Amino acid sequence: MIKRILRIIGYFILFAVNAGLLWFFHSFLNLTIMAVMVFLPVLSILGTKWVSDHLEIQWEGPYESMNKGEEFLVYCRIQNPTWLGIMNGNLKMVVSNLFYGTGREHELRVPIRAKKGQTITYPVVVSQCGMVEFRIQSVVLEDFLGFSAFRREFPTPYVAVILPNKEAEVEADMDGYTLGMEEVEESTKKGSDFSEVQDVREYQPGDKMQNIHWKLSVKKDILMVKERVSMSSRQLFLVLELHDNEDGLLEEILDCTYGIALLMLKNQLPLSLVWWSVAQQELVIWKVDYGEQLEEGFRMMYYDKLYDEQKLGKEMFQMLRGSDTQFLWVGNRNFGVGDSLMEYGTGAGVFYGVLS
Amino acid sequence: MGFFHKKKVNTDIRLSDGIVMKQPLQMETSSWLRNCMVKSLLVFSVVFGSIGCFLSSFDLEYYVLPAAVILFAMALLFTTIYYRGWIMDVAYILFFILFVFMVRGLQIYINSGYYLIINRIFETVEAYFDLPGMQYYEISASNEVLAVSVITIFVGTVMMIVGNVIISRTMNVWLLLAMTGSLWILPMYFRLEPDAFYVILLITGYIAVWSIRSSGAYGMDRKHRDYKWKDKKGKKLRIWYMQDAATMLQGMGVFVIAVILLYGMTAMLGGKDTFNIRYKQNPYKEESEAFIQDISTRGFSYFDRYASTGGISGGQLGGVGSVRPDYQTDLIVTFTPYSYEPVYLKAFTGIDYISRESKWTNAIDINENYGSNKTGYEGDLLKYLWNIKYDGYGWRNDIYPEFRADFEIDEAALGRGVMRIRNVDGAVAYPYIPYYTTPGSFTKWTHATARWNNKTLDVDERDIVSGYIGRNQIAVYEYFPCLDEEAVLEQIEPTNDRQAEAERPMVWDEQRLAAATMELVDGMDDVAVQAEALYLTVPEECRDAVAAASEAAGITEGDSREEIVQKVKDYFEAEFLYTTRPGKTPRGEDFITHFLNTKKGYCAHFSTAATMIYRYNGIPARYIEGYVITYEDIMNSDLNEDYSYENFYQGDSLLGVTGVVDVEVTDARAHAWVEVFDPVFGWKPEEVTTAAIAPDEELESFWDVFGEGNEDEDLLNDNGFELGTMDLNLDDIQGIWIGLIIVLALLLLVYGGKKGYHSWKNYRSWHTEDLNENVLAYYHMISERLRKKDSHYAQCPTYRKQLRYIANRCEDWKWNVEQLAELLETACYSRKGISDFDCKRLMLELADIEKKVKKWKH
Repeated sequence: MIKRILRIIGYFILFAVNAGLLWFFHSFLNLTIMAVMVFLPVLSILGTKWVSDHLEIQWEGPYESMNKGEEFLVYCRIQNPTWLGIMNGNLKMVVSNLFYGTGREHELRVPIRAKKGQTITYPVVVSQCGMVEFRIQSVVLEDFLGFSAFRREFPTPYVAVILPNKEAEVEADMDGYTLGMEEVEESTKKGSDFSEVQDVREYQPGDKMQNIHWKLSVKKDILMVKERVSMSSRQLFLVLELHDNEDGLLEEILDCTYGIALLMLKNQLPLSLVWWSVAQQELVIWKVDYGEQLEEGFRMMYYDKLYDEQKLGKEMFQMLRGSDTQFLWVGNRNFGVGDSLMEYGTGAGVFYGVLS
Repeated sequence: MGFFHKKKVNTDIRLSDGIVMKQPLQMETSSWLRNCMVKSLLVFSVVFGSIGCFLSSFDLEYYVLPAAVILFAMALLFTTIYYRGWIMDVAYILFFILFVFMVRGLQIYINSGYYLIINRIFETVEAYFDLPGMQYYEISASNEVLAVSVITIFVGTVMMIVGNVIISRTMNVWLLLAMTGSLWILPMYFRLEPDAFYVILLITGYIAVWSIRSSGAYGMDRKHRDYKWKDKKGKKLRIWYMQDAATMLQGMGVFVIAVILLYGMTAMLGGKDTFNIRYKQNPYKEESEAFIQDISTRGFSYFDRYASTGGISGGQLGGVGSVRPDYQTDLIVTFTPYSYEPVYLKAFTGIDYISRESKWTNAIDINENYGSNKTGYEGDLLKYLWNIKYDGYGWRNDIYPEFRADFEIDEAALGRGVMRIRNVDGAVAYPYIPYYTTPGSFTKWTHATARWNNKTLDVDERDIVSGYIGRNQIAVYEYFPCLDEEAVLEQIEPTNDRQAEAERPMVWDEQRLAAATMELVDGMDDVAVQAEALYLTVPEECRDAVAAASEAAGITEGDSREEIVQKVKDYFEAEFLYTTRPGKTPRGEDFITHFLNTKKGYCAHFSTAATMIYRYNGIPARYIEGYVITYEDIMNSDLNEDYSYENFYQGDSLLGVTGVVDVEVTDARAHAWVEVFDPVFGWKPEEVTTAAIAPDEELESFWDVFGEGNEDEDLLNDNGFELGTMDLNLDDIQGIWIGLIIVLALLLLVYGGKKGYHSWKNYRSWHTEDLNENVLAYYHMISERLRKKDSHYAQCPTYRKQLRYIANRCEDWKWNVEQLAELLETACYSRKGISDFDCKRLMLELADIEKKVKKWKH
């Protein structure tokens, strides 16, 4: 603002000097300059207003979820259909992680070309799980002479879902738990199946080869897979704590949970993600049979709010599910109760729990 | 290679907790070269606009298109080299060398262009302030339009350099106004208006600079980055783009349209030619004009150079630090050439040197100062000063009748001619008399019927004058050139008086010498002695210096007159330098003493000092001013076909039968020399000014500092050397060619060296022992080229996406993208890497791919 005032003062000085020259010399050149100096600010301000009214902004980015540490591109496309370019387009941006509730503003000054606009490409790498939101709070367009500015708001944001790192290695000493699962595993390996076919659908990337319905595929000339429903009564509950912690513990909990879930899915062991939803004030049990469901579960989770308690999820699970349910609890290992199956990172741990 | 080691810094930008932006952030901005072009356009519009305003206001013609193209090229060059520090340094040095060569080669055109502009300003000033008598520079170049174009380009180039620094660094309109404002403000003072084109160019340039400065997007980044950022802890992250040629250009386009429309609108109120007429003159401007007029007439800078004397100072020596001839014609002399020797036209005879006033006085002044107030001597002194022996114009009157009779008897032995002199712009207070004529001749031929040899000269009676030649008046003189001194002396039969005179001792007796240093007082009974004494007077103020100079010249007591005269000439030739800019004589210091100490000066200095040295050694001498006509002047003059040789000359001629010429004598031919008295012959002119030119004498203008000057060019000295004009030819521009070739060779060397270094570096990067590294380096090299060519490709973040993009764009793609990508990923990320066989195969495939993508266009 101060700069703008200084510019206006400077302009007036120039104007006065030229007026003085015109008065002294009576020159046509000074008259022309005078005319330009009178009318140009008007044209400049009106022109900028015109551009501001017609400006459109769109966000683009990957629709699928991204993993932590993976670089992806986010595009901010500013469309300027007018034939007037703007040299000083000031974008007030906020990039935030909705899950953690953290964010930061930044200002981005870009040229906005006539008829073309501007595309800004952010190559982004996120090191925390959650929902990363790119939002333009406002766009301020300054006129050519720098005397005035027009502000527009563009509320539509872009949100990217960031999943834990795929490569998080979980080397759990999970013998205790897996012993109980041996029967299921062995049967699966031998071809015996404890599940039944619930539906037949088209093949999707990620489906296991052994689920392919070969006969039907030959008939239809496209790959079809059998969708199974586990008949096992032994559900694996992964209870995780959405505990807000500045030391990065939550990231470890999420990474660990994701790793265990992938391991389970890899071994075709169905599981359910369990967490306490502060927003809904209920226990969320998200059944996961394949990868997409896992992603969706995390996405659901990211809409929730974090809480301060270390064991709220486990306590609520125990309270609401009864005593005979087996589960794995992923949380701060200092607060773990039961058999410790593994430790992850600096603070997270996985504990085998049974309510009985 | 330690010099090339770059410190790696983390360049990621933190957008929020756990969210970083990898560099580079991509936005649509122009390449640095396009940015340069737009900036050069800005510099060009401001500089060329202001220069054009100036030239068009003063109605100076020049080659617009070539000048514009060259100046734009210059602007582009300077903005481009500004983007790399070391390139800028080298290029500036190279350019300076080239510039010096160019200046050296085009010196005449640059000087002429400069003088043309100055002359046009003088013309305007003369007309506007009604100041007749302004002097103008002589233009050497034959093509005046070219000369103005050349000076425009040279001045414009210098302004481009400064303008580029301002625009590239600060984009400050105030500084630009300071640099260019005077060019368009100056003509306004004289109610001159520039052409619309330049006005539009200039205003657009100023507005664009203001606008871009306001946007802040003009930063010069020598790393060619699109943007910069500031991320201070606790403060908002700010990212701003550096510059964008496209938006700047769009802005300029809008400004041009707006300015054209507004110019047109303003023109409807009254065009540039009539706008001024509606208004009364501003009273303050009127006051300032009156002030300038006052300054001009009283003398200031360019106006104080003998403005109305046409080069003749009338014996005035001091108060002038330099002499700047205007090369305008002062006299037109019609005569018949008879010798290769210079022809002297005598105007002023200095007899009494007044040290405190640094001037010579002539006989009339002396008579007024002394004689008229002395009882009994009224008119006598003048009479004696002008008497037979000491007449103002040459031959002794007592021998003239005899001589004339002899001539009539023996025409073959001597020559006799007539000279017609028209005063065009010379001083009006003097006659201009050739050697040798007589007062009798003077009066005879200035009367009504100008007839000579029964031929009436085509002269209007009303123009013929009987005294001093006024402006546009004509005098006609009969003269007897001294072709052969011996022959003349043979014609003179000695008389008793003459014999006695010849036998009189050179150093006059003590009584006379004493009288020579005394004030002329009442009671001195010998007016003739007083008159003689004046020709031997050496004032006290300079006596010591003159004595020292006499000794330094090696003059001894027994030297004859001829020996003394020659020794002084030799002394000056050996130890003194000629310059038209000796500087003023310090206040309170004697003119002669100062000259003899500094040993540099022009003809007035030499002649004054020589006169005193001769007098000091007992030779009556006097200081003469006038004009000199050289043989070269004669050769450059027009032949007057209205008259025949016989109409203007009879008798002996060293050149044989020639023709009648009209010689235009400029003020640059004004000169001073010495007359020494020979008891038998009378007064003889002696040339004492040295030909040795001082080193700084060749610096005629600002531009001359770039070259040492050419002694044969464009300069004049008081010896009457014609240092005429010279047009551009191959020899002149030889220096330019050499300079150009050197600069081009150096540029090629630098460019080639840089390219070679990068090629070598690239080659080395994929020719290591590690085949995996080689594959990756080779791929990255190809990829880097593609990034520059294709912005879409540049947005592909992974090997796989990049290869897919290339495959889509290539029409005859034959490779398995997934397989190639997997190999590359394995080579890059896996610890084991890929096998040597796969490496070699991949290299071959990449080489094929490189051939394909080489054909891609930007």
